Parts: sequence; C-alpha cells; structure tokens
Amino acid sequence: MNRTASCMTDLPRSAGMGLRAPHHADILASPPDVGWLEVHSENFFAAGGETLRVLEAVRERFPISLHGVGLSLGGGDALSDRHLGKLKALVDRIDPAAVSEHLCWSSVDGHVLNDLLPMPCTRAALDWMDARVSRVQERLGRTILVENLSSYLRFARAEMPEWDFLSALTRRTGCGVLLDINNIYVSACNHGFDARDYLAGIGVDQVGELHLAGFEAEDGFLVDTHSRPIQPPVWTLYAEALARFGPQPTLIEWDHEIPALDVLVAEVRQAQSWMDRCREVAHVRAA
Amino acid sequence: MSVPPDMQTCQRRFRDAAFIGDDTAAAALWPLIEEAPAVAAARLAVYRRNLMGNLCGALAATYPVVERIVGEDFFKATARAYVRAHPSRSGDLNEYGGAFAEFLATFPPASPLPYLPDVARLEWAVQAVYYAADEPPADLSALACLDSGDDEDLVFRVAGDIARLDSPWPLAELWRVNQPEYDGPLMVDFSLPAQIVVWRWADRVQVEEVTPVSAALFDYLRSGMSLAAAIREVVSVIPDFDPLPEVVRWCHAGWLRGAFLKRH
Repeated sequence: MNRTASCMTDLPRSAGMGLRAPHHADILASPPDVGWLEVHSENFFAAGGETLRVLEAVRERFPISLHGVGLSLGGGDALSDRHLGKLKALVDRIDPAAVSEHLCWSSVDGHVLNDLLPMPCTRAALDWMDARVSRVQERLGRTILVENLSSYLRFARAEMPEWDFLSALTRRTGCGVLLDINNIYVSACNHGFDARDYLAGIGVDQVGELHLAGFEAEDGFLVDTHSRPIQPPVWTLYAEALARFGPQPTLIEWDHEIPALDVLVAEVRQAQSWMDRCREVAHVRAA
Repeated sequence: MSVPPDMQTCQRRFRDAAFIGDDTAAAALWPLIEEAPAVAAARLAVYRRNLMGNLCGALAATYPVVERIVGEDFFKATARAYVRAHPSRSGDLNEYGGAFAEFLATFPPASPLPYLPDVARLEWAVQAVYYAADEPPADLSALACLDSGDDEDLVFRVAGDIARLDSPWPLAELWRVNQPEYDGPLMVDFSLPAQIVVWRWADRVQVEEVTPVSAALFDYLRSGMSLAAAIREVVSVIPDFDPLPEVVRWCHAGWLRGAFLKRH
C-alpha cells in the first residue's frame, strides 16, 4: 500500500473507512487492513469518558480524519465559539491527519437544522464563506478540506456553478477540496449538469481527499443516503476522478443501516484496487 | 463583514419551509428555488425528513428507556412534537434534548405515565455522566494523617462525573428492568420512591439506588459540610445509622475523590 501522504493532508494515499459505534469493539479487537479511519468530529466532543478512550486507542494504529458536520461554514449566524473550541480541543488531542467540513449552512437566527443545506452560489456568499473558512483555519492552526454536498434543491439566481464556487473558495483561503464523487453524481442527476464538468472545474492540485457512498433513487431524483453499496456509475466517475486528480485518500462512507465490518472492508478494497489500477495506468503512460 | 442579505433570505425561507413546513412557508421559498414547485415539493420533503429524522434519532439515542416504556410509535410522535416545540441550538446532536423531561411533564398524551419525566431526567443524567470530564486520580492522603477529632475539619471533594436524583418513583428499578439485557419479570412496586446516584466506573455508567439516609449524607458532603457535621445531621434523624462503612465504600468507588482539612 502506498503510504505517501497527499500534500493537503497527512492521510496516506489509500482507501479508508468510517469508524462507527457498532464497529468500535471489532476494530479495536482485530484492526482491519485499511489505510485510515474517519470519524464525525462532533461524536467525540465529550469532555472525557469512553468515546475519547476508543478514539485514542484507534489513533495509535490508524491515521484519523476528523470530519465535521455541525460548524455551519456557510451559515448566516456567527460561528459558534463553543463548537469551534471543542473542535480545536479534539484536534489538539488527536492530532488528526485531516480535518474537514462541508460547503453548506445549517443554522440561521440561532436555529440549528442539523443537516447539510445547499449554499446560494453567489459572489456575496463566497465572500462570506471565505472569511469564515479563514477564521476556522486560523483558530485550528491548520488548513481544512471543504466537501461538496448532494443537493435536491438549488437556489435560483446563482452567479456561478458550484464547482467554481468551491474552487474559488479553495484558491482564496488555501483550504483543500474534499471531493465527494457520489455527491457529484447525485447532484448532477438531480440538477441536470454533466458530472465531468464538476471534475473539470476543480484544479488538479486542489483535491486532498475523495469520498464514495451509496445513494437511493426516489421518485424522479436521487437521494444521498449513505446506506447502500457504491453504485456502478459512481465507481465509473471515481475512475475518472482518479485519472484527473491522481490517487487520493478515499473514504467509504456508510452511516445508516451500517453493515457488518467485512462488507465495509470489501468496499474499501474495491476502492483500493481502483487506485492501484490508476497507478498502473500512470506507470504505463510514463513508460 | 455583515451577513449578505440575499443569502440570509434564502436561508430563512429554506428554514421556514423545511421546519414549519406549511404551504405558506413553501410558497415563499419557491421563487428563490431553481426547480419548479411541482418538482421541488418532493425534494423539500427529503430535507424535512432528514431534519426531523436526525433530531428524533438523537432523542431516541439519549432516551432509550423512555422509548422502551412507551413503544416506538408513541415515542416517534412525542419526539416530533418535541422537535417542533424545541428547535435545536447546537451543531452537536449530543446536546439536543435537554428539555425532554420538562416537555413530557406537560405533554398531555404522556400524562397517564406520571413517572416518565423522571425516567427522562435520569437518562439525561446518564448521558451527562457518560460524557463528563475524566477525574484526576483520587487523593485521599489527608485521611492517613487524621488525628482523632480532626474529622470536625475533614471535608471531601466529590467526583465531578456523578449525578444525584431523587424521585417519588422507583426510578432505579424502572431503569433496571428496561435495560436491553434484562430478561426477568417486568414487576415494579410503584409505591417506592428512590434516591439515585449516577456514576462512572471504568467508563461505564452505573445507576445505583442508595438509602435515604445515605443520600442525605452524600448530599451534605457534596455541599462541602465537614464529615463530623454531616454525620451529626443524619444521625440526629436516624440514630442507629453507621455512616463510616458508607464513607469508606464511597472512597473506594471514587465518589469521594479528595479529602482535606479545612483550616480555620
């Protein structure tokens, strides 16, 4: 397994998986052969106790990616000092290989919706997020990765496509892109754009991590459920992303109807084999 | 930098449509949305479902005993009513649900189960203790150099990862018979009140019932009263109570984490 770190994170350029509560004991008892583990930062905001003990034990064996879902980077409310303080304490405690959040908002007028909601892609919103991402990076003392969402609705009067918004945010703040391939596919189907335009819109040196997950079809559109195996067209798009961005740390996300550990590990292996194939092709081309 | 007004309008209308969810709120959102209203309604429903599902899921994770007692359907309906009455204020879902006990006490459909709010209070305390800061190692060395008579000045520091609850209901029993691993008879004597200590042992939360007199002694010590004064208080009510074995046990269990002599 190639352990060279991506330049934007200290994650190895290999496939990893989410550490979820049903697997804590199994993973500690017999650590699976995966490159790294991801956790949702907020699940480890405790002041003490078992959850942190588990994470610290796992950290001894695996590089950890802290993936946040609650910071509301694009929200109209002031950034929560409390939330940011807890994240900073966790970063200091765990020394993660990567810290990431989302291109989204989740709080307005003090009302938190605890979901990842789409941004209006306007220049003013970009300025707003730019300032907030910079503040978070300053507070954490490190760069973060920002992930694209799956969306079901789009705000009208967008002044740029989402990929330009994300790419510009990265250029301005120095943050990296966490490119979720499944989310690109789902949003492309839901909004009728070409998923390849999204890949082409992100600079080859801007991506620090890739995500893969399963979606479900509803009446005429796709929903990002993280409850299924990765679908064939998403693997295909993943191969195209690897061809453009090179082998990048890749996470298998599975958050609902969580399967047995070996099912997850099999998905991780599949991602790993796509990455290995991508490397071989690169070698052949170079030769 | 001030909030971009157009962005804020988008977010406010989205919030209203996803959270309040009536036709007026949805109609106010549609002009700001690319998709046609006929298409957009089904898609908004996904956000509404996620929002409700995430918050109800957080309540179910924190209040499994309440859910077990009332059943899944009743719990879901109750959780939905709670979400509508108590919007989330934190991006950390583990902080959601702190007012659930108060809510249950005033939620008419739950009134046939008057003990339910206390069960919820206990479960909130269990979660708080589970996530509480780790205690530094106990330091009871002051006990070793006690001369007789010193206990007039002896005070304890009680662990921070402990919660105390009193209930007119048999709360510890209700808790015990509703744990997933329990398979005994579902018989509880509802005439028995309970004094409870919730504490952590090797990272596991313990729900322990103590006698009224032990609870009183513990509460006095936690308030900073000296051991001698606390003993006088409880023995004046229950003359044949022998407090020292309790105090020793609490030291071993880590409820009492520090001992020191109060200097006058």
